[in-house]
Formats: sequence, C-alpha cells, structure tokens
Amino acid sequence: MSAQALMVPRMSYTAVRRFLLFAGLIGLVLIAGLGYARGVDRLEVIATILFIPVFVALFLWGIKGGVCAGLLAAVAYATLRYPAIQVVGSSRFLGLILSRTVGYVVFGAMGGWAASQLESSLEKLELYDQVDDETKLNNARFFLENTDMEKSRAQRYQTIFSVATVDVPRSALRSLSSRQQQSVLRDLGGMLTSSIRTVDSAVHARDDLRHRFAVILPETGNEGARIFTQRLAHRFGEQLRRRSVNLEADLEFAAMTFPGDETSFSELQGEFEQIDQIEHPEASLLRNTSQAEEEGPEH
Amino acid sequence: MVPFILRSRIALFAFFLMFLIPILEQSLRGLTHLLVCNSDAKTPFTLVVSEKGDPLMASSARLTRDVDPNPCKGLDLNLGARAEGEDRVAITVPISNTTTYGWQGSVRLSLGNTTVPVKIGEIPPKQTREDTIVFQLPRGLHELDGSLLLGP
Repeated sequence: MSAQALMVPRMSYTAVRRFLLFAGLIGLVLIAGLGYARGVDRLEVIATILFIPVFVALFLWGIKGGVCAGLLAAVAYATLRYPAIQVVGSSRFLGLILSRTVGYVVFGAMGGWAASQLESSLEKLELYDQVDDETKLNNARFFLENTDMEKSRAQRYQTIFSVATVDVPRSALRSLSSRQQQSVLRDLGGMLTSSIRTVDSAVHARDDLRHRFAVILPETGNEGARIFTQRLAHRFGEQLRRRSVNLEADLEFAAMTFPGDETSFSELQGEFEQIDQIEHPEASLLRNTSQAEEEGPEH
Repeated sequence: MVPFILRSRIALFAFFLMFLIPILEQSLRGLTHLLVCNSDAKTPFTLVVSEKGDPLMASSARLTRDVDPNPCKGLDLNLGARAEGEDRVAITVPISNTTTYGWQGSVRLSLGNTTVPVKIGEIPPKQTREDTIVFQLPRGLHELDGSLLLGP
C-alpha cells in the first residue's frame, strides 16, 4: 500500500473545488426537478436549467465568465420566449426577461467572486499551512522551514540547536476507534506542548508507519537533547499505556544536534519532506506557478 | 482591507446564498408559482384570420366521459374574446373564485405550440380577477386554449 493511501484522506484544493462544483450542479438540478414535479411552467424550468452553464462558467472563469454566461443565458431565455413575444408583443415579457437577466448576471457575478475567493483561500492554505490538524501542533512543513532557519542561524552565529524525535507506531493505535485515536494524539500533543520551553517548537507528522513527534530545541546541546528525548519517550509510553494502547516495545526516539549530526539531520529532513509532499501535493506546483508569474515573460 | 479569514467566510456564505436566486425566481407568486391545481378552460377557441374582415371565432366545449370537468373546485376560468382589428384578437381571461380562501392564479394560454403566461395574481374569496391580452395573428386557422394554474 502506498504511503499516500495510508494517510488520512485530506482534500486538496482541486478536490474541494470539484466537490463544490458537483454539489452546486446537484443543487441546481434538484431545484429544476422540484419545479418540474410541482408543475411550474416548463419554460421556467428550462430557465432554471440555464443556471447550470452559468454555474460551470463562473467556476471555470470567475466573475468575467459568470457574467458573460449570465448574459448568454438571458439571451437564450429571451429566445425561448420569442414566439410568444411575436404573438402578444414584448411589453408583457419585458419585466420577466429583465428579472431573469438580473438573476443570471447577479448569479454569475456573485458566484464568480465567491468561487475565486474560495479558490485563492484554498491555494493560500495549501501554500502556507503549518498546523497539524490532528494535534494542533506544527506540521511537517513547519519542521522543514524552521530547521532550515535554525541551520542558517547556527552557521551564521556559531550557535547550536537540537532536534528530538519520538515515534509512535501506527499499528499500536489500530485497536482503538478513530475517535479514540484522535483523542490519544491530542493528549500526546497537549503533553508535548506543556513539556517544552517557549522557544522550542513541537511538531507532529505521520508517515505510513509512524506518528512522528519532533521538538526543535534552539540553543540546546547533545546531552540536554538526549535526556529530554529519553524522558519524553518514557512519558509518552506511560500515557499510551494509561490509554489502553498496547505497546509491544518501548517507543523509538532519537536526538540529533546541529552542527555535528549533519548526515542524520539531512535524512530526517528528507523524511519530513516526503510527508509534506504527500500532505500538500499541489503546493510545489503552486509555488512554481507563482514563481514563474513573478519572474515574468523575459525568463 | 477585509481580513483573509473573514473574506473566505463571506465568500462561502455568498456561494450558498447565490442558490437563492434560482429558488426565488421559481416564486410562490406570479407566473411561476407552485401549483396545487391545473385545469383547462371551459371554452377553447378556434380563430380564423381571413384576408378581409374581422377574425372569425368558433368556440366549443369538450364533453368527456368519466373525467372531472373542473378539478379546481370553486375556481373557474372562462375565456372570452373580441376582435380588435383585422388580425388582432383580445382574449379576456377571468378567474372566478367562489371559495372562501384566497388563491394565486395564472393562466397559460396555448396558441398552437406557443404558450403565453398570463399573470392574474391574487384572487380574493368570492371575487373575480381578469386580464386581457391582445394577440396579433397571421392569416390562417389558430386554436387557442387556456389552462388555469392555481397555487397557494
């Protein structure tokens, strides 16, 4: 089974967009179907169906697409009414056509604005999300950015920092229900937050085998980090046993210090990078796109 | 500037709010009101527009066995017509409400394949509301029928 398949299903912004599009289409079909079933004038049912292309257009092309499609829908509606206009004159239909036109255009403009705002919000979330949903600790992306920053600081100012990791095997939590698992993870997150200093940063990420808890400890040497990690692993183990989690062995833990443990540090960063890519598959694509836009056509 | 989180929430609200537009346009009032009853007019017309003179009108009532002639009890549609010129016919569309309740009514006039909605609006109890609509017809034979559409 791939690592992605084992992750908690997380909707990407494309999936959310598709979901909203699908839900909107279902809604419009239901409104039209209800009108048909209740005996609303057939032409008015078709008029409701004309909202569907406007809805698709506003999703694909935003406000401009929505307004243009709204105007086209109004023209289509007027065309449908044309035989009757020929017979009784336009004055009887003017109000009806005007109200429909306003309806289509407002629908297109309002929906286009809302869709583009939602899309940009989701993109922003995809690019800047640094919070782990399960524990409310920091996530893998934060770990990468923060450790990069700490490395630069350590190199520039000749300082040190350490990273402590404690891994909880996912197999140990499988006997619990998903709600219990969430509660246990929140517990561990809370315990970790209360055990660290203000300058430290706690991280939770999960790969296909483990829940990985990490703490970035600025200005901390190897010995201090090792003692902290040992105690943390011990406390985590005790807490898990209290919550009826069946641990076959003691929890794995590691402490590494920069400078000094560069190799294991790079490996750890590589592992968190993989997790981040699985959690935010579209972020790198979005970054490349926005970079290309910033650089302009001459590059 | 509106904060990012607030803007996202407003956008989500607007996204759901916009679906009120197609719902409201299928209004409970007016031409597209929801129906509780639908019955044909007592008197359909055949209109003959000749090259010279006023249009000719022939009316006929349909008698059908085992079919309720008026499923909308207490509400009647009885079309009337008069010539308005060589190729113009004014159709009067009265709805009489003999019930003790008010109703929203409209009439769908069918001229061949063309339907013309006529908004009557609210018909108070024990009253009649009507509208007159002028048809401009090409030469030939035309069949005109009306359907009474009632809603709450």
